[in-house]
This record gives sequence, C-alpha cells and structure tokens, in this order.
Amino acid sequence: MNKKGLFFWIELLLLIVVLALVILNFPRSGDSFLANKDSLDLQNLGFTTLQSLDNAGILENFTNINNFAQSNFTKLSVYIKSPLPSTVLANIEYFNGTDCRSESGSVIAICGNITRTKDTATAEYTYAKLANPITIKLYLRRILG
Amino acid sequence: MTAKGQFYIIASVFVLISLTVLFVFTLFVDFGTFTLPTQSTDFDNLQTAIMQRNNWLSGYWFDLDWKTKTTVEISLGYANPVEIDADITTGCDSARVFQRTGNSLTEIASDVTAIGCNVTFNAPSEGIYDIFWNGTNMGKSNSDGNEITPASKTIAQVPQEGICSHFAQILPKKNIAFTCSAAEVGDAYNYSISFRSPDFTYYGSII
Repeated sequence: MNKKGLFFWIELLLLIVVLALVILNFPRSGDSFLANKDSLDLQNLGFTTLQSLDNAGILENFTNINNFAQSNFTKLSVYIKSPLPSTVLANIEYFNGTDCRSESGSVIAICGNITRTKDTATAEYTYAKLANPITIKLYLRRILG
Repeated sequence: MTAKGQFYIIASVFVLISLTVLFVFTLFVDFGTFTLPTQSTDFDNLQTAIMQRNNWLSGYWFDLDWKTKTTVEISLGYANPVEIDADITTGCDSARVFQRTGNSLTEIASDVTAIGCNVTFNAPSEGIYDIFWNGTNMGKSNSDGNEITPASKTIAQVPQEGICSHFAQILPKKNIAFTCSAAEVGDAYNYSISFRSPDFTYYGSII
C-alpha cells in the first residue's frame, strides 16, 4: 500500500464515520415526528367526534340551554365516548370560562388536574348552542401508546 | 488510484450524503404549519364555535333587538283565540308570536289585551310558541281571567355574544394573543377577531 492509498482509506473512513453519525441521528427526529403526528391525530379525532355530535344534535339533546349544571352528564359521557375506538382512553372535562366540571358534572378546582402520560393528547371543542358557551376538553390516550 | 479518481469518489460521496440528508429532512422534519398545525386547531375551534352559535341563534332568537321571550307549550283541547299571560312588564307593544317547529320559527298574527298586556293569537295547532318582546320581565302576572294555562312556560333573556369572553379565558393560557369584539347583525353576531399564535395569525371578522 503506497502513501496515496493510505490517505484514501483514511478519508473514506472519515466519510463513513460522518455518514454514520448523521444517519444515527435520524431515528430520533423520525420518532419525534411520529409521536407528534399521533398526538395530532388524536386531537383531530376528538375534535371531529365532538363536532359530529354537535352537528347531529346529540349535545343539544342532553344539555340545558340556560343552566349547564342541570345537563344530563351521564348521557353526554356515553355519547362522547362511544364513537371513539376501543383502543383509545378518554377523560372528559367541561369548562364554562370560570368553572370546570368533571365528567360526572361536579365542579372541580381546575381543569387538567388529572394523571396524564406524555402521549396524552388534549382535544378541545367549544359547544356554543347555550346561553353561555362551554368548552369540552377530551384527554385522549391510546391504550397501547 | 489517481488523484482525479479520488476526487470524483469523494465528490460522489458528498453528493450522496447531501441527497440523503435532503431526503430525510423532507420526510421527517416538522415544517411548522405545513405538517403539524398544532396551533391552528385552536383557531378552527374558535371559527367553528362562532358559526355554530350564529346558526343556533337564528333558530333560537328571531332578532337580537328583542330582549326577552316567553316560551309556552299549548296542549290539545285549547280554544282559539288563545290568550297567554307572558309576564310582560315593559315593551307591551313590541310583542310578537312565533310557532316553533324544530329549529325554525314562523310568525303568527297576534294582539295584546288592554288589561295586563296578555298576548292573544289563533294557534294553528298544539305545540311550542315563542312570544318575544323588547322589554323586561319582572315576574309580573296580571291576570284578566281569560288566559289559558299552558302545559309549560319558561322565560329567557336574549343570549349574549358569549364567544369573546369565553375564549379570552382559554387562549391566553396557550400563549395566544387574542382580542375580540362583537356587534349585533340581525339574528347573529359579527365578531372582529385578532388571533396571534407562534405559528398562525388572523385579523378579521367572522360571522
């Protein structure tokens, strides 16, 4: 092996090292993107589910126009959760601008004070066919997430 | 291998690396609003809420200038003309009667009595009737002895725009600068919105 050949192999080795370093960093970026994409998919799923229930008049049937506290929270919970895939876990909260209510309709101190994993997505839909609008917060997580 | 050949190999490797990097970045990297529009979902929600509220108002309230309504349910067995004590305190002359069918309102010719400001009209059928008036209700009930007792009676005030104050409680917590004002336009509200998030901005009106 002459002198020129040695430099060639050293340069080639350096290129392989650089290439390997670059490629090894790709999966992290890919995972991050996929995680965000999945979270966004869950958000969209929650939003479109609630929007469909609103358009179909389901939310209207079980909410009290003048006093949201007197709404049928049991039925609301059933109708909101039933269109979701069985592989998705959901928690519901209702926010009227000042008070936050749990899934059962009872007033809670603050919204979002639940155990959430890093893959929990929050979907929000504001239901406005009431004297005072309310925002339905859906905390969604995949069982196998 | 000659120096020229070595140069071509290295150049080819660099070109290959460049293409690979370009390809992978195109495939995986977040290009902001083009691939993951996380912030605009809040704007979608705002826009949808405004449109849903205005659609609802058009079927719930015939004109936002009329401030109060009494909703009564008239059952079978009534005799025309029916007389309803709608609990009108002020704004007697502005009273108007609408028959409700689902989410649509159909106006019916009506009159008010000289005593007690009760509303009289010929009901085409049993069902729900909304009596709107541009005045107040203070729990007054002036019976003249001729009114019927409806199956149900509820009184409601005109819904406020509601959207601006509601979203003002939500969006700033998400690092979104939000200002909003609303103006009555017939049976709907026209909202002037300023919405500025890190990757989405909107200035304009939504009705």
